Amino acid sequence: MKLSTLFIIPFLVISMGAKAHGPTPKKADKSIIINASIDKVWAVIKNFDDISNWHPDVISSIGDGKNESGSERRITLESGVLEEGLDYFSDADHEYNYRLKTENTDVFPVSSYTTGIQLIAEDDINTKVKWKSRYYRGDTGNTPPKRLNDEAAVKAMNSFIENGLQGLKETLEK
Amino acid sequence: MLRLTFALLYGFSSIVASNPYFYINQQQGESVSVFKRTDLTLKTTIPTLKGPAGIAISSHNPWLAITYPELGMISFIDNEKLIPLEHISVGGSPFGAVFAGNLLFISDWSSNTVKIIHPGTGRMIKKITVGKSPAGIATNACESQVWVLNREDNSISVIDTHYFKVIKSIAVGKAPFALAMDDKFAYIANSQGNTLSIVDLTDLTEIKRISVGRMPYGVAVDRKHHKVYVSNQLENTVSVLDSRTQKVIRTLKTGAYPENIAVDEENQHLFVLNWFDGSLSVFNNQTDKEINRINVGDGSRAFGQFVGKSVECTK
Repeated sequence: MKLSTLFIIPFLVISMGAKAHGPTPKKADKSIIINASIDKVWAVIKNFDDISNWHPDVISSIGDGKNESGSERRITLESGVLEEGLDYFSDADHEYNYRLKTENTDVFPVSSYTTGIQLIAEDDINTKVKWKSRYYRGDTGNTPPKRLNDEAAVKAMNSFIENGLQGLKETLEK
Repeated sequence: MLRLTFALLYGFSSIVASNPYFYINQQQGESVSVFKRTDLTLKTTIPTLKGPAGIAISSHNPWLAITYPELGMISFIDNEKLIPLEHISVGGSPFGAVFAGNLLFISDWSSNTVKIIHPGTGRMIKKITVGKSPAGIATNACESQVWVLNREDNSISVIDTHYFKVIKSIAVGKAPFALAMDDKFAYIANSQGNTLSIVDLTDLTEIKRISVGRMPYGVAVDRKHHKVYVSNQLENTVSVLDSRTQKVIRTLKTGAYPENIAVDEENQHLFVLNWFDGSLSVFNNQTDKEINRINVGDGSRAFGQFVGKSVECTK
């Protein structure tokens, strides 16, 4: 008998009690076209601390005003305060990246996220705003409660991004 | 189990020819995709449990191990016949995995331990306490040590694979996550420090910490061309170091969120898994030019050495 045939062991199907899901990172990839030049859109969103000027879910926001790697901001949502840190900022590319600095799942049911916002000029008077995020659900343990599971995280993140893009569009097109 | 043990006893005396495939987990699904190293085509997919994340390939036996952090499970797969062998419950959150000799070492980020599994019996033969949130794990060429990165402790635990003991803790940069080794050094990506720690394998001390890109998430070594590749997750780039001068010599553009990274020295390929795009960038590792980009699917993940390597122990 060939040695290699000895490796074949019947595939044991193990029934999993709970419908567990891997701690799989989730992604959001959304965009919107705004009827305004790239410079105008950038002027509204470039100040990392001023998100409350255009995002309807953000009641207030405060930061160091520097717009550089290492800058931080505190954003106040209806549910409470989140701290975010700026990782990358490029005036030339009309782009910045930031991440959740301190986990607070009572405020937002996502345990960590990194987000990138970038502008692309469609033409002289239209701009595409791209919003990308990679994130994990609120409770990455094996049996998350319902309010901290994948579904809750996806819902909260999608809603936050969509509201933000829509708010930005309304701010610029009004 | 007995049959696996039997095979192990015999199989161990001869070195298995270099495995012709590389493997990418479908973490959002329940399978591992198997690609041919020569022509980069999909050979088959093997069913797994839900949410496969970590990968290890044995250098001595036709074994592939897969981890499921959420299920507290691992699987062994026959990497020649491409069929599942068995699933084993190990508890906790098994994440990184590496074979050393005839044993599998896995990092369990929720229990802060490295668990040692005997593939033949499926039994856990030892549990070693390491630092907080152990993630990346690797062996030296002779497999006499297993190195594990403690992400929340900013340190490495070096485990002696004969005595099953931590013989040294080494402080590195912030949030070490992935590593690779050549004959002289280990290279550690400090994900939140945006740095690469270079640690001497002889005296087990950090000799240098150099700046790379934002959120370095994967490291691969190309011994033939004296290069170290570091994927920068938040920058969509790979930093290329000359391992002789220990300086960054160039930066490669990748897809979005490059994470897991590996070198296939035999076929002169560097693989970069672009997590956000669900694609794999293939570079020629001699020229560092991207020669192909393969669709591997949304939610693909391959945490660990996902291409077999032929490493010679010169001791």
